[in-house]
Amino acid sequence: MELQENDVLYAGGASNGQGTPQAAPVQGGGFTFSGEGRDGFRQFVAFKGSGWELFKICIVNFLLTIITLGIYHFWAKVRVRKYLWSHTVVEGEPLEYTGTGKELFFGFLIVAGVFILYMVLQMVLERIHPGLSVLAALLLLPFWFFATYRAVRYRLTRTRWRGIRFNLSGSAWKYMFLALGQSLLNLITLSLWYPKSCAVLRKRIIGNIWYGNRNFTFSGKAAPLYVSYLVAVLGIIGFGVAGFMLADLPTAFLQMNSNPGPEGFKSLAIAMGTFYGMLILGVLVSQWFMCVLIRWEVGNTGFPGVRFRSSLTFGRYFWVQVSNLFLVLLTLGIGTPWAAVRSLKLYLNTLDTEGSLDYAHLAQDAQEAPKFGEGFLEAFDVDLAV
Amino acid sequence: MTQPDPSSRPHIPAASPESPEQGKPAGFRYYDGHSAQPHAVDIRPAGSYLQIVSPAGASMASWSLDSIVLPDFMNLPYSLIHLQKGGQDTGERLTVMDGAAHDRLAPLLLGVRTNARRTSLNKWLRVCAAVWLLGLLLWWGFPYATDAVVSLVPVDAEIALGEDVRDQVGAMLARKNAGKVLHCGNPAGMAALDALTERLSLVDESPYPMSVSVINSGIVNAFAAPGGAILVTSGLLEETESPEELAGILAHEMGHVRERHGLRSMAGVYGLQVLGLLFSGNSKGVFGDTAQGLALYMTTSSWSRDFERAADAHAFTLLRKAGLNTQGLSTFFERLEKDAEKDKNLFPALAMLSSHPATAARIAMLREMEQAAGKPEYALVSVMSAEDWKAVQNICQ
Repeated sequence: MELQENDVLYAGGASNGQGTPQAAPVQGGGFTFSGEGRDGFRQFVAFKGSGWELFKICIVNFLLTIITLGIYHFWAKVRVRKYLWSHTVVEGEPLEYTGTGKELFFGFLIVAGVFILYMVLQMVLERIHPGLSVLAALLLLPFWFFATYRAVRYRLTRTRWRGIRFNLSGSAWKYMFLALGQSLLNLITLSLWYPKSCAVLRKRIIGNIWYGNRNFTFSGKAAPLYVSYLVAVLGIIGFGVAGFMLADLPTAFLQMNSNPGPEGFKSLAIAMGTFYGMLILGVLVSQWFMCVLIRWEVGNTGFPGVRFRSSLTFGRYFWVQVSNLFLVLLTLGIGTPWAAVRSLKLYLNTLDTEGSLDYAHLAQDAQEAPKFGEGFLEAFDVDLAV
Repeated sequence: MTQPDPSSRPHIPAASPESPEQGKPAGFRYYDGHSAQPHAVDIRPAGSYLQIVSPAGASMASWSLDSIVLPDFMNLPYSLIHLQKGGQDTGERLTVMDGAAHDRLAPLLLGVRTNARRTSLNKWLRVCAAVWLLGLLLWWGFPYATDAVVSLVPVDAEIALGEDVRDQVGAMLARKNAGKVLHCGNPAGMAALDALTERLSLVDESPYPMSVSVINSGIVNAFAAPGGAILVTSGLLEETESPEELAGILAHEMGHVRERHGLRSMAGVYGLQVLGLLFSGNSKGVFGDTAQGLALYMTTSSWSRDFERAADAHAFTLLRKAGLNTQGLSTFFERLEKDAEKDKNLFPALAMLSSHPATAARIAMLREMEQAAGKPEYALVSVMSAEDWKAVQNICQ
């Protein structure tokens, strides 16, 4: 990594201004980076949010949403995002969310209009012929891809770091057709195409992300994913089949029904134990693949001057996922803010980087964010519940 | 505001805690909105301005206090935002890195903080008032709006819809044998039922052709689909003890049909769901779903209580006009209530009661109508012969 002669970094500690990397941990913005400890890589992001604070925000949001008959929902979303963004500290400098509730509200009105049209269409089709409503359901998929791309763009244009905006170039329509094609290929190949489609879609999105006047790159190839993917798929199928073969649940149930007693109960317990054991092993394998996917995604993302890496380990990932599940279930949802913070810490604090950004030449993109000629369509920011 | 010049930045020292000989850094970083280059700076109060100065003492920017926007959360490190005259974001930021810097800055921003709080409180009070006004308008206007929509639906369409609903509900509730729905309808019983329906229809002056069908089900309930398709369960026929009671129930259901209650509540529920979607976004989550479900239930059950009352009144007038005994309905309710008291676990009876107004109140209303109407002008006719009644009761055999 070439360092610029007079490139001064105040955080991250990659350089001391003379172009020589520092080995010792450097204090940057009130927290310690582990310097060059991880073979040239250093921690890139520190998420500093707390579950308790997020919980307080959620409770206030909940009450305000009720007394405003639901309208506050959009402002509530913004407040949560502002909290999450501003506590995501990247190289000593927090992110900033500049979206507003008004934008989300108008964006939602548009989506609601589309949704109502969709419902009417579905009703009309159903009246003509019951089978035709499937057609309407199929229309939702492209709409979903389109909306996803738009939502990513909206969030990026409303994100600033060091005063400089992010952006997403490219057309949502093109992404829609691309994603449709990939889904079709996945369907035809019985998901064997999946790693390749991951590579294609990630490249389209990440390769179009901008920070200021510089472009992110994505160099991920499907080949390295395939081994893990096939292992995971075979594992899931294998454990699934084993679960059904080894645990003869129907027989056990019948036995339990015909002569209930300790004998029947025991065989049922064994069958259930085997079945769920296999189910858990299957989930374990799929989670392992998710972890591989995240590392692949991060490791292949680049930006001029820096490389990224995720030091996420499967053990840690699995532990957080499982404990979060219990955290949410056992508290009947009250624990959700804590679970969210734990997940974010897991993903963000394991992001490492190597190299240094050319801050002086990272200029604000001349194009103003909302000037894409699509008005409030930019605020196409919805988590569609389909 | 100074323009950054990357080739010559002599004023930026390699400030870090490791170089204490250059003096402690002030704990502020300035970004000029043009590049991501950080500048180590210090602040200096200057009247209604906040001056941002380089360590060498040169002024880098001067922000008027009322052009500064505080972040929502001031946990360290946080950034102040600088706006232009028109309120547009300049992209300039001042990041506060540590507690010492915050302690020096906070007193200068006291006024900004109070102002921001006052403006946002004002805004919220106005928005809340507007939202409540809108809500009240909707609360009052909604039934009229749904009625207006319902009045646009042609009778033919309503009848077609009602037949669909009847078939679906019938298939759902009916007893099944090896997947096949068991039907009820021995000819003698059906003939007696149809005759009774015909008699009531003659005086009803309703635009809908009434048709009654019986479902083979243990549940005690009767149901009026839009457009005149009435469903009666065999459980209900077993529960009734006289043809007068049955006539009362049928007249009640015909009231629902005549007043288009089925269509009105369907339109209402659908409309409420759309509104709920509009207002709450699609907030997934425990809180959102519970609140929405509760609101929907409370509103619809209050409508259905009104509907039941209207149908009871309609039933009374209809029976009077047809010259039939008007006490059947109240007798039936009384027995249902007694059964429910006798056995609180009698689910079938409770199922019928659940969405209906308190039975005692309905009995009282019917009695009052009875008194107000006085003695019937004509002698009462019998509802059906004992033989026909027997056939109706055995309709599922």
